[in-house]
Amino acid sequence: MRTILRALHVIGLLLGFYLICAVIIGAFIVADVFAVELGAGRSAIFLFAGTVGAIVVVLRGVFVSTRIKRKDLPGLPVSHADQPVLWAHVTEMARAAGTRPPSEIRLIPNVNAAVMEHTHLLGLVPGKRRMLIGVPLMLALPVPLFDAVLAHELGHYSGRDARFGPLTARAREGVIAALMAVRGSSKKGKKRYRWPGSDVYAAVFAAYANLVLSSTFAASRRQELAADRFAASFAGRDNAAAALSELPVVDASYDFYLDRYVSAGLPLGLLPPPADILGGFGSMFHDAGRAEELGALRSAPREEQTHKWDSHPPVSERVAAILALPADGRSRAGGGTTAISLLMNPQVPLAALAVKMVGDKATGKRAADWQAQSAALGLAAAQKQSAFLADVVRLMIGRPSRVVDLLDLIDAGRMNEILDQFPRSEVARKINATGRTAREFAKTSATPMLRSWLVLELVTSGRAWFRHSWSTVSGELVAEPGLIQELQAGMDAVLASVPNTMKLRAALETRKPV
Amino acid sequence: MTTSATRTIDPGAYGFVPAAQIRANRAGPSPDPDAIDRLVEERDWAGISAFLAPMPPASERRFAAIGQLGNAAANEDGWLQQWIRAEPRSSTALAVLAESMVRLAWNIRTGQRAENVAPEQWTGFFRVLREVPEICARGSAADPADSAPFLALLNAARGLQWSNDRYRALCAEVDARAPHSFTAGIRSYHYWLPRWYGSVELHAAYVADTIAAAPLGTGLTILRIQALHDELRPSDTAARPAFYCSDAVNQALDHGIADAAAAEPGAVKVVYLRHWLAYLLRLAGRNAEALSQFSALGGYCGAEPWDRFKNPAAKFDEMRTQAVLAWEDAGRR
Repeated sequence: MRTILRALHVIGLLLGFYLICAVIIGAFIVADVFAVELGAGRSAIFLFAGTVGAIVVVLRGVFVSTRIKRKDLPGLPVSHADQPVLWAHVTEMARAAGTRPPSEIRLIPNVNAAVMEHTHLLGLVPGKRRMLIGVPLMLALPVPLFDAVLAHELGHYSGRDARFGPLTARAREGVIAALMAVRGSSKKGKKRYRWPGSDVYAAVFAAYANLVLSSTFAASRRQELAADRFAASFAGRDNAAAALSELPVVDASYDFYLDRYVSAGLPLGLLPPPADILGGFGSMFHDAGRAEELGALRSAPREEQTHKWDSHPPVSERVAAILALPADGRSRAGGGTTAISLLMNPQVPLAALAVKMVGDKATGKRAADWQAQSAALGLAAAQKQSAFLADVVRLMIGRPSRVVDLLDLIDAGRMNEILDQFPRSEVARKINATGRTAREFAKTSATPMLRSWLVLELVTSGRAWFRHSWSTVSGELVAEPGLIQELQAGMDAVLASVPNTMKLRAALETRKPV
Repeated sequence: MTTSATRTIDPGAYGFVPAAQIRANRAGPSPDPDAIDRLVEERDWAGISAFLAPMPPASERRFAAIGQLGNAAANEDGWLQQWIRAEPRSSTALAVLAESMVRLAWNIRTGQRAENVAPEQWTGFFRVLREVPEICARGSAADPADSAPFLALLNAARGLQWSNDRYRALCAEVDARAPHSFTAGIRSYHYWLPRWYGSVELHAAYVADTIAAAPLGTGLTILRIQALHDELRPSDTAARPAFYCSDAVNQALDHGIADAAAAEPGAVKVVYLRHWLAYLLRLAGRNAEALSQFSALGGYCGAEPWDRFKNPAAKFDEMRTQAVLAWEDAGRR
């Protein structure tokens, strides 16, 4: 009975939309007929154009495509044969939840999990069920928390929410497409031609779109809360709340990981090998050096803006709703094995999915493992950061420069000449720094340049190297014992009020390996 | 009551320097600053060395000269580098270098509130300041009896955020070499403020103890006068006239007058006390006494409190005129 009522609600909204379309076109045609009869002349032409416009707008809304083609399905399908453990886990959970298990499981490279159902007859007849599982979640979450996420999705099945997904989507997409056509913008953000007279019915579409979106999204939010309750009853209240609170943390970390680790080598033409692309996320997320940052993310979650067209209620509200449920005596699972353990030979599906995810971006890129990428990035950064200083010295001596050339110039009493070639920083300009003060600002700019220049020479000569690290993006600089301290002391002496290059020269001299 | 703007006086008739001749770049009549400026302009480090050599090591005159040279070298230090190369074991030259580094650090940092200082400024500030203890140590090693390197360190220690105990130990070193130094007193005065590394109580105790220990003539009574004006004055401007006439202010002024009167003629730092006395005696309505301080100051206003005003010479002249007029109105009393 509930199912039928919900179907009728959505169908009603959709029919209402078609009705409005029909009335608008009808009204235009009637007006056209009158115009011809009365011989309105030029204004009739304007009216005809408006009619054509209205028909275009309506057609866009009515024939908007919401059918998901198989080739547009995201991610990588995994078979029973390849991933028996995951399949058994999901099937078992569905059985326990009293709902039909999905007939297809797809891994996706996003911090998300979803279910969809390919229904028939406007959602009244059940169809093929698909479950999408985000690999980053499997890498980050311990099994009990991951189960809470899956249980939430299965809750959508048992609540038959997924069944009306396509129909609801059609209603939403239809009104949005019509609205955008009226407003003269396309989905891709390009400006389209605005038909004459469209303002007249734009308001009608806008009002109806508002009605459809508000009511369907409000329904979506109710369904989310219901699915959350289901997850809590299945996986335990505290686990469900913990999983939900953890999602924004995983999401932010994953964005950071893709940006700072996976994409970092792209400008140098480097990409991690497929198996590392997704797998590295688990290593970063669980790295002890990241614990503090993640803790900060957890204790100070991002502020969420709410809107009546949100498909989900804000996380804080959902967590509060779960925690308001009576305690079930099941305590929150601690660390333990992460859900990636549900995959057999995980590197195989992870690599295949990574290849799909990276797509064209991999063209022309060399595969470099994390260590190789870290070394290449470290050197490139050192080169870039030292370029200005090296250039100043090069121009002063008239040939390619090395750090010792800088030290020679300093010993020749030309430090001020070097510093005077630095552009004044914004702060130095603001306080109107001149003379020694301006040169001190130049020294502050020169310090990281000199450090990078030293790193560049030492790494090139094999006395220092970069070690990949999950706790610092730039990697760790490792050097011969004591060398870093010697360099620091040497730099301090070079940048002192009375410069002294002896310590730095000594540190730079190649010694026999210890 | 008529405003002073409508009534003027002829300064000459009272033995004062005409308004147009008041120098805002000098605190008093000492010829040293002009001589030093000239030597610096000529980059004559040897001349500077010779100029400083005969001064008594613990004299305020020497400290003033070293301070002035340090400020000058904070802008351009070529001559100082030459001097140090030529006389690497001159505690005077090293004290000048140390002073110049502290000045330079503050030029980088500026006097902005800490939250408005850019990270780039902090980096330079601390890099420069961190060199000072080492320079002072070299100076002290060169001449262990010289107080000048320790005095420079007093200034750096505040920026370097030294602990109270470490600072007290440093003050003891200064005091052993230059007892009751005016320069040391002013520098420590700032360290013990609540907004630096002291507190209201520590600051009050520091001021009271320093003045109690000092004989008259050192000029150190300036500490209480400045503390009253800067730290204890009511923030409500309407309540200030009564404050300026309060017992606390009057007693501090009495003590200050006696202190200034006991100073040796030509004492370079006591003029700083007189500037405060002239200003506050006028505000306290003690016009005759204010006039005698103005008279002793002559035509110089390059000191606090005047240099806190937009036009120090105009303020100096205005207060002086007000004191004369009030004194006349009261029947020359």
